[in-house]
Amino acid sequence: MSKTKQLFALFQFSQTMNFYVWIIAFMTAIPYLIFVFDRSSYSPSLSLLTSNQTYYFIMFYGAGLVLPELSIFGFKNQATGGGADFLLTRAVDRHLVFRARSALFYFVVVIIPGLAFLCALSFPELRVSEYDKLVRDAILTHIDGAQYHREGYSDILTIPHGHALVAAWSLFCGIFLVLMTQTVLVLLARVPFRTFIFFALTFSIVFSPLFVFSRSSIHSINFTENAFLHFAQHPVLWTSLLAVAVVASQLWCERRFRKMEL
Amino acid sequence: MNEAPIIVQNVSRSFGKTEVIRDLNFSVKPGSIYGFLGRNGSGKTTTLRMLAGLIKPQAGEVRIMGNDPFTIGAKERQWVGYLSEKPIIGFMSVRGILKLSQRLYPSWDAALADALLAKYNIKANQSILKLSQGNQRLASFIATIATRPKVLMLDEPAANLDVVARREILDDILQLIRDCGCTVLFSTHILSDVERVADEIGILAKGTLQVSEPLDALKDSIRQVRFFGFRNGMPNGDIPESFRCVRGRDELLLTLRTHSLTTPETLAQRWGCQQETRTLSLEDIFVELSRN
Repeated sequence: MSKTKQLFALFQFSQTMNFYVWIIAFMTAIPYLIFVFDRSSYSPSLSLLTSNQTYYFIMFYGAGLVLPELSIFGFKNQATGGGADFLLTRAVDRHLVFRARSALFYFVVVIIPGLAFLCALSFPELRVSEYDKLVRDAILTHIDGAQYHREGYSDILTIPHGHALVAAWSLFCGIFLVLMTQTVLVLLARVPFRTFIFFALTFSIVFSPLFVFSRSSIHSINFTENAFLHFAQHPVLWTSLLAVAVVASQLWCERRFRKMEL
Repeated sequence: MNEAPIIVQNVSRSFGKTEVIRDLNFSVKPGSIYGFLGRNGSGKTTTLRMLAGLIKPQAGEVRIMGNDPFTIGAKERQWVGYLSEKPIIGFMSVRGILKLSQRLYPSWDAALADALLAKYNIKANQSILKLSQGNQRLASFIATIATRPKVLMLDEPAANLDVVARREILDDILQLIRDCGCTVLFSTHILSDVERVADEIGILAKGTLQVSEPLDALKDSIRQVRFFGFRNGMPNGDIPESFRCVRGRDELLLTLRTHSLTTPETLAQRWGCQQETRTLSLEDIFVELSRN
């Protein structure tokens, strides 16, 4: 059986075994509805655009999806729920089992932001009416073609391709988080106290915005805005780096998974 | 070359500080059925999981059809069937599981799968989750056996099954061997199953294999012997020939492997006493060898 056919069969198996992921995909989709319903402006500030709280779900369900054998949530039946014993003793190449799970993980996370990105391409210009002065200045400095003008009583910041950039940024964050989640899971696979470490790590990321926002002041730009500005300044470079990282981490994870006892 | 399809050589395995398997050695001859017996926690499942390539031995090696099961790919795995003690729990229908198997195995026997579904009265469109534990087991069994494996490993195949289904599974295994000369290794607690089908048996206790030999030879060679009427007093210390030794006031009850050098008669002569020999059933042998 060819590897492609095998991978497709395994992908189907994974998604049937874990059909709950579609519910989570819908939950992560909620913030993207803005790209469909609100085509002209965002408020109150750019920081809401550049951080997506629902992304934190990714780390939780990633554990059940990519490595159910770890029983990271402490359920002994999780491994059998993922069909691990059955699947890993079938006529399959072991690394393809991981690839199929990864493919499903990426697919679930990327499908909605991907569609939002395609949607944003049809109305690329972004007009922001409420923003921080520092952010406005940074945008004018970093993003080519960004303009600032008065329209009635409002000061409007216009970013050409801004919609597409924000949607691409969300897509970028989603892919990056999937990459990180599966790499961390594979790294932790044989570490003692892995459940504790995993939850500690996940919750620190979930609550990090509180820390970031409490530290930021009107005199500085917060981390997510800064990251977005860097991305907006060099989208091709960051996308290429991400693509390389995705391939490298995937191959590394597959190699580790092949040698892993389950 | 007629290498044994299943080879376990000097294998040891621990989990944390608990040693589960210690220096395990056995092999299964081509086309034979090997019954793997042991009490709960004796290491049967660990051994089978090593042979299935789910875990690795820490010392020694296991080979399936000449390959290391942990590293083999799809091509080599096509001829190896494994039924885990864990059921497939998921949202797939029985048909879904069988279709997946069909796509992975060119040797898939759809007619056999359908016949077994009908025989065991399992509805193909039903979700695996909604089946009883026994029927989940049967569905997994069908998904394994219809791949027409050359080596079949079954971990407690009869667990949760009624006596009729158990018999039918054993008949299907025998049929598979008749059809394609499959080699079978199965673990069980049910001794009557072993007696019905196994050519050879291994009894695992305390992480080591106490015996591994053809069933008839085993029954012929192990005896319980009562030694009594010692003229010069009872022998002291360990008796290396015995698996188990119970000392009474004036008698010694030994479970012995009898062979040309160590017969009950020669021992009675050596110790200056009388002896009384009793043959043992497989269950007696199992209890004697497995008891702490």
